[in-house]
Amino acid sequence: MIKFNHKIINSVGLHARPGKILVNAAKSLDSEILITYNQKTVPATSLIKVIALGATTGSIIEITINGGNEQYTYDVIKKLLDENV
Amino acid sequence: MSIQIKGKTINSGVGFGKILIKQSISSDKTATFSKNDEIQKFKQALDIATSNIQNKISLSNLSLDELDIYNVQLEFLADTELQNDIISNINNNMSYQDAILNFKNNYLKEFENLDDETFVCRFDDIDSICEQLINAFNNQEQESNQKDIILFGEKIYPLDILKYRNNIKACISKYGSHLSHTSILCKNIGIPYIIGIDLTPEYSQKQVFVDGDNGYIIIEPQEQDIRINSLNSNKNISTKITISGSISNIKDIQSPNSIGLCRTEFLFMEYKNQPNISDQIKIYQELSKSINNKNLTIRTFDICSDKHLRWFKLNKPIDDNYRSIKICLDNIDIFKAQIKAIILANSNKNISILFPFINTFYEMQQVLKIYNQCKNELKLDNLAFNEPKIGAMIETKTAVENVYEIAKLVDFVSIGTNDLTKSLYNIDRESNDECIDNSMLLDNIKTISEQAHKLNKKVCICGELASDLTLLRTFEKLNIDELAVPFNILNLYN
Repeated sequence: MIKFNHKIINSVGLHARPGKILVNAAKSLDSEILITYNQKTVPATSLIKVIALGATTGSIIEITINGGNEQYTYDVIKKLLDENV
Repeated sequence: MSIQIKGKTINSGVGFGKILIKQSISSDKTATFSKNDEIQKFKQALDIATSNIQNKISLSNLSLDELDIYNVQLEFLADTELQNDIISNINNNMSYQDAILNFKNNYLKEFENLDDETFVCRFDDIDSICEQLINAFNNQEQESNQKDIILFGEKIYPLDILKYRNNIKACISKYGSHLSHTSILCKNIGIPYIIGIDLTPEYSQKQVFVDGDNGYIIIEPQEQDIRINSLNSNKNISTKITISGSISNIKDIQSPNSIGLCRTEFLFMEYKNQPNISDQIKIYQELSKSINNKNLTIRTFDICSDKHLRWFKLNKPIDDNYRSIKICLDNIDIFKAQIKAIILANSNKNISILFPFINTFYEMQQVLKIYNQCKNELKLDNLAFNEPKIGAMIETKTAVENVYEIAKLVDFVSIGTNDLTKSLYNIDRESNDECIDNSMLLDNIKTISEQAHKLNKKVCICGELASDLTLLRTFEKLNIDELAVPFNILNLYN
């Protein structure tokens, strides 16, 4: 299991557009990816649940990666978050 | 007799047509059901709703911004969490329609607890697809052939607009927000949108005039109504003012017309990395070619809180003061690459370069210093080029005060009326909901025009105000030289 934090830099927060980029990537990876924010944990494959977290610019989300090729998933998701979210 | 009803403008412009009242959710409460049947019905509803949206998307000529919004709705429909939640509701003895309503209400509670209004608005997207799912089996009847539709609903969602995309002339709703996707879509298609108005079913199919500029509608308007006449007389309008296009994307260009404003930040929004000089030259020349090398004004990157480029790494947070030209002056490499690309793209001598958000003489001097450095570096590299004309965008109160000094340094000025409105009326970028009287704005435009013309510099108006056809004669009196408007407005002119 890999856990790490990410600070949201996208000016609109974890919204539809950045959310969709994240969800599409999560669907293509073989690890389970969970996002925790404000004591709520949701699967990164559900756009509805990811948006419903309401994570605004500057807030910190926690990512948990479980199973599959965890290191690869980490590399992909970390880069994607840094560039888009 | 005509009835006038006042509302709140979300998007300006005028529209005339017949009222079409959006179908409300109808669920069949009396039917008896088995869990398996209901799960089957839900799955069918998912298929119908998905293919309805996909069909409409393929039949309508949508812009990239519109597509983005509809793709989110498709993503929601494909969301397995949504499907699992609804199926588990059915397994708890609900009809498929009640299962969807229950799912929706649970999310409504979650979204209502969020503090950020933009997020709260995203609930509309969920409500919208729930409506589609519940109405999936009786959706066909309202497939109207009606032309000139003025759509009314308690709430209007992106999918409602998609349904009537090619015939819709305006939207009216009881509830709504300027932060909603519906608002973005109305801006994108160029139709007025007024909220805060409730219409009973008896108004269905009545003629209505929607005045988004002044925030009211007139039901069954009289022929002598001045505004209607102005609308009618505006077909093939003629004016001495140059009417040019304003674009954010090469796809926005519908005919080979001169372009008074090309917003370059949108051209490179999807890029992962900074576009290099040759990429940029290629795109600018492509734009130029698509308008047969007519005049093309390219505005340098106008980065602000709602227009962020992912490859543009910032050292300071963007706010209403730290944005646009200030950010470019802090990121000299990116700024210089763009200036050089614009200079080098000007092989046909038709390109002008426009610098946004210039506030002071000193700021314009700083920009010109960088611009001259670019020219010198190109000379050192032995590259031949034609110098573009240089313009400054005036879009704040401070800039209006300094316009005479700024105009001394440039060939022309452009007025960014959207930001100028916000600056003059002290409105937050995010809460531009109030209907405002634009006399102070017009006074400021008058000042800019007088000061610039003292120096024989041309004046162009950009922004929403430029599209207000009822102000055309006023602009003529103010000696405005050019109006940069979206192509749907431009098409109204000769």
